[in-house]
Order: sequence, then C-alpha cells, then structure tokens
Amino acid sequence: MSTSVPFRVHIAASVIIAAALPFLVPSTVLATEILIFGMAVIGCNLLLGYTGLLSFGQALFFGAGAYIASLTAIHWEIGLIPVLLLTILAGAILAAIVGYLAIRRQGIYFVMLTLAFGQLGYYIAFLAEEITGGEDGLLDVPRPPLELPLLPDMTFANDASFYGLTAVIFVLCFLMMQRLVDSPLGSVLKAIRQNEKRAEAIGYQVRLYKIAVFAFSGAITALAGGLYAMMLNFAPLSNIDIETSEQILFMAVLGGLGSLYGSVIGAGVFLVASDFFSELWPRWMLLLGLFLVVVMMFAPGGLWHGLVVGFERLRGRHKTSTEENDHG
Amino acid sequence: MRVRGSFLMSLYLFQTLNGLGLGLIYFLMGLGLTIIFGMMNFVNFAHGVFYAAGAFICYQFIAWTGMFWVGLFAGPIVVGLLALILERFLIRRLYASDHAVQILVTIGLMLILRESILLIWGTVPKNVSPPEILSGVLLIGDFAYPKYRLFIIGVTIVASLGVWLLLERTRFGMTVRAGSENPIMVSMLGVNTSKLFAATFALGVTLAGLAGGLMAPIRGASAFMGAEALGIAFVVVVIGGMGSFVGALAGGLIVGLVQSFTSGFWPEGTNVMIYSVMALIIMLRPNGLFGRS
Amino acid sequence: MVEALLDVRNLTKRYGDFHALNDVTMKVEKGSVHGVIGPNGAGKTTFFHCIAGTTPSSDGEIVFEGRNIEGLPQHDRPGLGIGRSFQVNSLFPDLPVIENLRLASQALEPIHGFIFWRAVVHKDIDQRRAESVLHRLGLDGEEQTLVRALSHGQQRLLEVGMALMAQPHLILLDEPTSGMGVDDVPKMINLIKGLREECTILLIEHNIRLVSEVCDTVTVLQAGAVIAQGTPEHISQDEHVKSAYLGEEL
Repeated sequence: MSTSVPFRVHIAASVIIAAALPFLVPSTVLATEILIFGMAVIGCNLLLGYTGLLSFGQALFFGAGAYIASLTAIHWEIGLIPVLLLTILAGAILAAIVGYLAIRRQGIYFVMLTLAFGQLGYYIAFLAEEITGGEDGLLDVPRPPLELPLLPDMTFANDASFYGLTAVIFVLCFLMMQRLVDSPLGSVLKAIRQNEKRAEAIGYQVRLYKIAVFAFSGAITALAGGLYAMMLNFAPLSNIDIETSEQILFMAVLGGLGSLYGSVIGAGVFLVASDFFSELWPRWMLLLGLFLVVVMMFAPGGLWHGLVVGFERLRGRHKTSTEENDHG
Repeated sequence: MRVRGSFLMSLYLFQTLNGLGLGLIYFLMGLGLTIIFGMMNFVNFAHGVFYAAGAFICYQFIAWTGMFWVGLFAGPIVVGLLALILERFLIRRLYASDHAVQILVTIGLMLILRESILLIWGTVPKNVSPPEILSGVLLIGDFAYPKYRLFIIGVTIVASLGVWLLLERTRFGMTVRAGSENPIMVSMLGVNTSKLFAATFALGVTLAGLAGGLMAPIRGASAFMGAEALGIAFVVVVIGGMGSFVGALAGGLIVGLVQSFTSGFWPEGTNVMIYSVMALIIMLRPNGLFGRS
Repeated sequence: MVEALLDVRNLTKRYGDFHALNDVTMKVEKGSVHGVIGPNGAGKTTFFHCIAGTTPSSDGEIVFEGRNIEGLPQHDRPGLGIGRSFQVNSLFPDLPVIENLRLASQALEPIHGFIFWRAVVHKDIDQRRAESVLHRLGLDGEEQTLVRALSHGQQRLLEVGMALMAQPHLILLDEPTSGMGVDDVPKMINLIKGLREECTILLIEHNIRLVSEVCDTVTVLQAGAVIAQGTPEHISQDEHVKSAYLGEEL
C-alpha cells in the first residue's frame, strides 16, 4: 500500500551496488563473496528482521546448498540453471522441514532447536564422508556453463566472469526479496514479528506463514551456499558449522535488521574488515567479539539504521515514514 | 556361551558407567544454563566457553603447582569470579533485553573469551593427566574400569547433591527457585535482586567451569570444545525442559547414555544419535519431558 | 424469542483444580448489545478467550449461528464472523493504521496472505469499507500514521476498528474503554452505539455508565459462574450482584 520507495529505485540501487562493488573493494573475489553472503544475510534477515525468528540453522541451509550444487555439478552435466534450481528447491524443502519442527517450540527453545538441527546437519555431513567428503570437503567443484537458447554457452572460468554471473543472480534475488517484503505476505510477516498473538487472533495461521518464510530463507541461503562452493571450487565442511551461522547472524545484525540494504552493508563491512584484520592478526575475531558487544549494547539498530537516521538529520526532518521498520 | 554372556554384561556395565559419568557432566552444564535462564530469563550463549575456560584454568594451575587437586578447585572458582566481574559490568545490563540481544551479546562475549584463550594458551590443545591415585583401572572381580571415570561420577554426584541442597534447603536456593517461577514476586519480597542475580549467574557459570575441569583429563583442553558443549547443554535443556532440576538431570543422563551406548556400535555416529533422539523427543513431547509449557 | 446468535452451553474451563469458568450458560441474541460484568477474577476475559478460541475450553458447547465451534482453532473463527478487541492494546505498532486494517480484512482470505510476488496495492483493500471504518473511528486522514504514533485513546478505537474491518457478525469487546481518558470515553460509547446497526456486540466492561447506556442485556459472572442475567435496570437491583460487588464500586 504505502511503498513510498518505487520499485524502479530498488532496481537502480541494486544494479548500482552490483556494478560499483568491484571498484570499491580490493579484489573481485572479495566482491563476489560480499554479494554471495549478502544473499545469505538477506535469508537470515527475512527470518529475524521481518518475522522475528532467530535461527541458528542458517549454516545448515548454506552448507546444504553448497553440497547440493557441488554434487549435481560434479556428477551430472546438466548446466548451470538446473543445478541452481535444484539447489534452491533443496534448500527450501530442507528449511521448511527444519522450520516445521523448530516452530513447535516457542521463544528460546525455538532458537535452541534451530541450533540443534544445525549441529545435527553438521555431524551428518561429517559422517557421510562418501557423499560430502567429510572433513576434507568436496574438492574440484566445477562451475557449470550457462546454456541459453539462441546464445553460445557461457563459461565462468575467471574471476571477472564469475563475478558477472553472481552479480546478475544477486540483483534478481535482491529484487525478488524486496518484492516479497513489500508484498501481502511480507506484511503478514511483519505483523507476526510485531504482534504474533494478534496476527493469530485476526485469522492468520501463523505456523504456516513461519514455515513459508523458512522455505524462502532456505532457498536463498542455499543458493548463496551453492554459488560460494562454485566460487571456491570447493565445498568445505566449515560451510555447515555453527560458526557460519553465527557469522551470517552477525552480518545481519551489524547491517541492521528489517532492511535488505542493511543486509548487504552488513555482509560488505564484515567481509572487508575480516579480510583486512585477518592479515594483520590471527586473533582478530577478538575484535569482532568486542565489536559485536559494542554494536548490540549501543547501536542495536545496526549500521543501516544509523545511516538512515544520520541522513534524515542531515536533511533536517524527522522520519515518521514507514518503510524500514527498525528492529524493536 | 557363559563367557560371552559375562563379557556382554561387563560391556554393558562399562557403557552404563561411562554414560552415567558423561550424563552427570552434561547435567552440570545444563543445570547451569537452566538456573540462569530460570532466574533472570537470560540466555547465555557464552556458557560453552566458560566450560572451556574451566578446563584451561585447571590445566594452568596444575602446570604451576603440579597438583591436580588445586587445578580442579581453581578451575570453577576462577571461572566463577570471572563470571561475577562480567555480570557486574556487562551481563546485568541485559536482563531486561530481548532474547535476541542477549544471544548476540553473549556470542560476542564467547568470541572474546575464546580468542583470549587462544592468545594465552596457543592453538594447540593441552593435555591434562589425572593424579597418580586416579590413573589406571579399578578391578572388581574381572571387571576393570578406569579410576578417573569413577572419580568423575563421584564428584558430579557430590556436586549435584550440593547444588540440590543449596537449591532446596537454603534461603538462597528458595529465592532462586521462587525467582525461576516468578521473578517479580521475589523482587517484591524485598530481596536484593542485584546480588541474587549476580550470585545465580556466578553459580551457573561455576558449574560449567567445574564440568570443563573434570573433563580436561579425558578430552584435554581445547578452545573450541565450548561450541560442542554448548550444543549438548541445549539438547539437555530442550529434552528436559528449561527451569527444571529434574529435567536437566533426566536430559543429561539420556544424552550421556545415548552417547555411550552408541559409541559401542557406531563410534562416529554418537553426535548424530544425540541430536536425533532430541528431535524425536521434541516431536513426541513438544514441551520436553519435565518442562512447563 | 429472538434467534440466539451465540448460544453458550455449560462452558467450563479448568486449570488443574481451579475452575476459571464453571458451567457457564448464556444466549446472546442477534442484534443485541450484551454486557458481561463481574468483579476482578470472575472469569470474564477467560470467557472471551474461549469464545474467540485463544484458549481451548475444557467442556461445554459454543454454538455460533447454529454451529458448534468448540475446538475450532482461533485463526478459523474470524472467518466465521467472530471479531474481537483486546483489553490491552494489541496492534501492529510499526505498521501504518491502514495496513493494520488491511491485514485484518486480508485475513478473511488466507490465501491472499501468501502472495509474495508483488507489492501490496490499492485494490488489496476494500477502500470504501476502510474509509468508512476510519471515519467511524475518527481517524480520517491518519491512514499512513504509524500506530505507535497514535494516542492511547486512538489506539483503543483502532482496537475496535480491527475487529470491525473483518465484517463480523459478532464482535467481542474486552473492556473497550480501559485506560481511556474521560474525554475519550464518549467517543467509544458513540462508536459502540453505531456498531449495533451492523453486528451483535458482546462486551466486557467496568465502566457502569457505558454498560447501562448501551447494553440491552447484562450477564454477571462471579468466580467463573453466572450469578445473574437481565436488563441493566434489573441487574442493578439484584441482591446477589450487590453482594458480589460488595466493597467494589458498582
């Protein structure tokens, strides 16, 4: 109803982000990584920022996406699009199952259940050595060619071409997710976050909506995981461990919840900082921890919210409009 | 046939005892988590790293003094003191916050502590050996069982009893239990809640430190042992039901026994088994075995 | 006798040994304004929760428009024509007023809530109905205001508006004036009086002036049981009721 930001602005903004990023960060690979994690963080934001569901299962979807994409790309020569579609589908189904089970419990139990399912997935991946490569991960993951009718096949052997592919997928995903959060479904999700009881009382079967948002989150997170494996030519076990879940969550909170731009900023700042500091000091995660504590204690709205407020102050008016409902 | 039968018997006994020991350790972990949550409605994701810290401090004091017993006492005490300091300057500001905020701040705290452990003790895990008197096995007839594992069972039973008496028989315990059920009432009774909360937080963390110290001679001390322990502590409280002493005990023992028996026929699969059992229990009883809904 | 829209028979709600509701039987006539009063802890809100499906009842029947709805999940009841407001404001504070209303009417077509591929557009809400509801709430021109920016009194009115938006046959109002300033109460009274044109009203209220002014029938609950039923005049003369309220202002 009140999408005061027109869709074409989102189109322009996401295209500009994707086009400018390689020139803003030190390497093309890092830019690729930022867009990939940006998608995973958007998946997390859908759950936490829009629906109020804190999930520690994100690495499960990310890791599962990496394995599915890698395995299909290694074993079947079906081209890029089928590989990615299968990855998305598998991520959605897996997340819907995890969501279905985890939302049987509320509040903190829910969080613990998502964490436990994440751990279960990790140990299964660890055990299933013949499929996942166990501790060694899956090696030699190819980047399947893109086969489009009427056009010659495209391959993505070098960093620049793979960035191009990632950028196109990122823009499409970003816009679809922006549509989703502005849609009737998105509105119900926001309502659930703000007042679950009332949402149920006015007639929404909240459970179904939560399962649906899990499926969307799983789909985009798995897609990100699949692209990540193709980027690395490798699907490590660490994709699926709890630390990956924590990092995705951290990026989401850092950038700011309830805004997709915040998710991309969170991923960007986190990855650039970790790229920079990890060179300087192997124990740089200590700084990360400190930073997380400080952000949560003093700026719980995240960087995006800070930018929005700063911008509004500059323009000298108070923001009473409604687009970005900051995390309350 | 008889020989085989008695061999199986002693194997089962061996695994039951192993499961009991592990289960009681997990119980201590879960209990710490659950009393902190019950009293202050606070979710402590740094619980696992306190467990790791307990193991390292135990190691360090043994290295300094050469005495295992000093290490075993120092581990939980130092960790408990650390908890008091953190409570005073950070944790107490979060009691009124959203769970999501508490979780993220304690993850930050977990990173700080874990990286500090790596800074102080390096990246190579440390080995801790049990004292002379507890090394080797105890022979009862032809059944042999490691002395140190029996010692763990004994200590955890004593510690659990101690905590139980503390919760059931003392004024402090009564307030903690009342607070777990109804925190507002406790503050209305005129209890100094800020001291009570600090003590509860320290007690919960001390239990994690004790668990870490006790496990050090079996599993060694590694900065990354906390993540696994945290996951297991969650399983314990999810199975048993948050805020319940009996629930934590049942949860701990179930996890310990499942782990121990699975290791008999599928050693790599113990963790998968634990989490599968948890998933099963949640499907059958969504509120846990002893949980209030 | 006029047809009963809601026919509650032997409704019981137990929490362990405690009977929050004990064998409550009452009929709400179609087109009437029916008040439920009683001292604190009498079970009034529990009664509403059972009718709205927020909490399951332990025993008895809730017959709405000839159909026993006992056991039906809460989220299915608004679709049958049961709307409710809450005693404590329970809205979506970070969404604009119009979006709160739109969500309430969208809920009647659950499938609509799963549309994810396009933004919310004007035709997603019955504009005329929304305008008429806003007008009756006195919130004209506040469509795009965030709910959290409304005054408490306005939020109380929007509470009723949320229920109204779903075109209920029966509307349950849980202490509609609770926490309202003296100046705002007449607005609520007028709103309720206007509502009876289109739906039956069941309300819990402490404000006796409101009860005697708008209600046709009053049921008095005490300790989970019905102790009196009748017109407001009849009730105010009832000895049981007087003793039940002893020490409380009637």
